[in-house]
Amino acid sequence: MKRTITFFLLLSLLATAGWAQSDGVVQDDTQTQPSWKDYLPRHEAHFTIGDPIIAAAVTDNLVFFRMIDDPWEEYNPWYWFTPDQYDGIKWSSFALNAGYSYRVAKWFWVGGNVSYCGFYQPVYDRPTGLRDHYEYTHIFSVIPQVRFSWVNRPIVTCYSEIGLGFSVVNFNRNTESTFVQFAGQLTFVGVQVGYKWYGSAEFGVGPMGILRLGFGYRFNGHKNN
Amino acid sequence: MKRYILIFCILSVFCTSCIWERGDKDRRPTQRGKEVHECWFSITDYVLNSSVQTAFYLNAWLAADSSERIAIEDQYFPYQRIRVDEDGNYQIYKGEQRISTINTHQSLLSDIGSAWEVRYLNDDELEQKYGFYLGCMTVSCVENGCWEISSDWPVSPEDYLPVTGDTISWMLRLTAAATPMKLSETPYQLEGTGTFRLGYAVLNYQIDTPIQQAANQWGRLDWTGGQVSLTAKMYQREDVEVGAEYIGNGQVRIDYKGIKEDWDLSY
Repeated sequence: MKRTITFFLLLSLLATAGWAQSDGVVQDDTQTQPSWKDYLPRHEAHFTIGDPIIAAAVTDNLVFFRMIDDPWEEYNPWYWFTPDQYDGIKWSSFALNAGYSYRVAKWFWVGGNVSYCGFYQPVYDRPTGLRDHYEYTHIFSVIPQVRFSWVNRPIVTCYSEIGLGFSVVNFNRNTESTFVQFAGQLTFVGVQVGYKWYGSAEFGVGPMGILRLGFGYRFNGHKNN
Repeated sequence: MKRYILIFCILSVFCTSCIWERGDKDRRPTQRGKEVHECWFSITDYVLNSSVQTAFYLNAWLAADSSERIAIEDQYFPYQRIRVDEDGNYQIYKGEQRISTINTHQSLLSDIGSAWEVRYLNDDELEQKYGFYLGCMTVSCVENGCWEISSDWPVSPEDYLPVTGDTISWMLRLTAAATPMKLSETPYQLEGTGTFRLGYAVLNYQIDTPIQQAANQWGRLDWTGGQVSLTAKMYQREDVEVGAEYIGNGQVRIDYKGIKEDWDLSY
């Protein structure tokens, strides 16, 4: 029993010493190790643009294939009585993302993103060619996330992120409807290059896009930054 | 200057890249009218060139003597045989399949007042495409050189068809200089009105100006003149109205929602 208590006391002391080292606590009068807070920023705000592939796939705006069971389906007289219309070009805003991150530790961040992705398509009356109405899909996402940065240099940062939040989808195809669904964003690898202002590139999966490019600003860092 | 060109190029690429999906404007404004007409034309083609044609071939066979009958069989009933059942109906077989049963009532189609009951094999393609069943028709000689082809179908309220009464009927009147043998090689005039049933829809037609058939050697309809009005109806749906005018050279002018376009006749 005494040996066990002694062992845990020594382990605690060791951990405390190690923590002290990482914070740059003066161990002796001859050496001072700089803290990451001295040269790495703690706050950043960023803006990225991503592709809308995942957002399109989850909102039926991406058709991979169409199955035709009946070869005579297109001749069915039932179709004569449907609106005689055709779809115009479908536009996308792409995924527009804005977010903020706070550096809790040298390698660990917390933050969140808001994202918007939209699809817009006019529908025309076939005989006259006049526009009949618009069909649209709006996707608003709020995704809190955590980031793990595994390269932490003043100019270059590499990281991975995990986020889980929700999306509000509002669409109008013949009828208008709104629903809420879970949204997750996974960043496999992200790279930031720059000092205060930086450019970024991210690769992952989620409603914010698979490939995202953007820029950001780091602030409230140490006075030397 | 170079900077502005670069900015313009970047903006052009950016704007173009916002197109997510191309539209589907690959159909003409009167496409739907053409499809409605194609349905009526296909059915009429089948009625005339399959069912009624077989009746006129049989009429020629019945009117011929024994030596001519062999020649008619060889030319107009290839790989087929004509049999008479115990009720006196003529049955035409192609292989093991019976393709037609005709009750002549011991008369010829050239006899004024004759009325043949003709049953012909239903066309699978018309059935699968449009839900159309041929059923039993009556081919009658109403006057010299004039024949009426007609058919009736009973309907019930449970069918939810947009019709009044308890039957659907259609009629075509064919007028020629003489009793035809091969319809496609005989100039004739076509009139008529009626309703085709297409599953849960109906197609009303009215031949406003007699349709002129030009003799041809391809065995098909070659309409060089005439006009027909078509109205497609379905329960609790808006009617679809189409006008068709035959302008020759294998073409038809479709009038759909006030827009007129020329189309090739589909066979």
